[in-house]
Amino acid sequence: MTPDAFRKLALAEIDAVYRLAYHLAPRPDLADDYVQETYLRAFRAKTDFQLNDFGVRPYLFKILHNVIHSAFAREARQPGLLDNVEDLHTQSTDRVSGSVDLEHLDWDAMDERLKQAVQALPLAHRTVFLLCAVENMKYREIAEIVEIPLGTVMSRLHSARQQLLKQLTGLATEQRLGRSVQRDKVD
Amino acid sequence: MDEQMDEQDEQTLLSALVDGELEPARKVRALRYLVEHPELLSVVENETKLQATARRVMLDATPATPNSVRQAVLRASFATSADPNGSASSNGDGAMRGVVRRRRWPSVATAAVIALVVGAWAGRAFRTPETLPVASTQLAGSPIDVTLVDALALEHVDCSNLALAQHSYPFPVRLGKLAKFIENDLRTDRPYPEFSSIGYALQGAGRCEPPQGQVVHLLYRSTNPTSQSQTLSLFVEPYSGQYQIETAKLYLLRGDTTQPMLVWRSDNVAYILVGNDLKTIAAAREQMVRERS
Repeated sequence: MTPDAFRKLALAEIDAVYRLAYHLAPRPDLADDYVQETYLRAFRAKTDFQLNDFGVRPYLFKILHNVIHSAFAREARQPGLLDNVEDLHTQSTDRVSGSVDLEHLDWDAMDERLKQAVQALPLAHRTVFLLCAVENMKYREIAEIVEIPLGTVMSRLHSARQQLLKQLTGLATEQRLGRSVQRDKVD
Repeated sequence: MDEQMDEQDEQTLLSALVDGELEPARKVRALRYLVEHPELLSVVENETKLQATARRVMLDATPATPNSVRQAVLRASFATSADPNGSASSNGDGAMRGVVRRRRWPSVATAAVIALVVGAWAGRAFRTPETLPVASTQLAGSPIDVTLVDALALEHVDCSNLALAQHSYPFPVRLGKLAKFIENDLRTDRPYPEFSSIGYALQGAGRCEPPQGQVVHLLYRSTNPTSQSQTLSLFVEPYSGQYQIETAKLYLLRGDTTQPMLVWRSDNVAYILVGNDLKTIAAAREQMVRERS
């Protein structure tokens, strides 16, 4: 692929790259930096790019992932920022049952709670979840981007969903209690 | 599907089913398994709803890409493409830093460019058929790289905003041999067009960074006290076949910016006029042609 062709394709993906960076960055201004660094690296390396099955977007996501990983690793070397390292490498051991009670959940009224729950996921899980749920990446693309085996993609995704569903179970309980209180008032 | 699989394996595979990641044979087996274990239907249903809702929520929660980021990336694109080796270049870093440092106006575009040959309207606007007949064929695409169009628009906006700092020189200092070409083209004794008749005065040229090495940016500002924020940019560049434009044709380019551009060339010089509206740049173009004749 010619550099010009690559450049045009890459620039067309800036919104997707920013979106992912925004939801992975600890602060919005860092997302700006991550995106700029991602493109700088991409443009420098563009002569190596071959348009294959994965296309430009996963290629940029992969660079972004490396940029963020490097940034967290840099911060990890600073005193007082150890939480981020833990967040980066956390493997959830929190198992929850798949048959969570969401029967009464009002899915249209849980936006903020779900957003917070996604943001609270460990970075490694959040990355995989966002790539799958928001960016519609296939498992093998995610494996390529994050550089982990396919099985790890599946287990992280499963773990992320379980944590989110667990959060939403609490919300469903609150909603059910709320409706119950309202009924009592009416009665 | 293995009846003995543990709960985690079972749910991981159901997740794969929800994501459409199972090959057909496994998908059939997974569906059959679901029929045999209806209590798991709620898992699939919850994950499906979660997937759809999370996508909607996270998309809604994402702000638009900041213009400063968009423009920084665009500049890096130029800086690195200027490096013929395509290798690591300090230009790219500089472009990023420069953009972060500088204040930006919003709404400079990156999207598609529609290239239009100026048709009947332009024929009315430019009454100079002997020197610049208007092209009559529709172009399939922009004669100028889309990213350059955006960069020129950005340059116009930035330099308009920062003119006092960057265009304080009374006369273009970078014209070099272009000066002679422009004088010949305009048939005047000064290497820049005069737009006083349409209410614009030369602000200057100089330190404003060109998007390409040999582009010179002439900035004009409205002389009307009530509209001094109105500006007009004329980019001039030695022509050596870098754009797919023909002599004696006039091109109108429009990105998703609000700044239209008129592009044409002589044998030696390419001209790109950028302004806040088409009417103004058309009048400026007409003035150049009139001056020449």
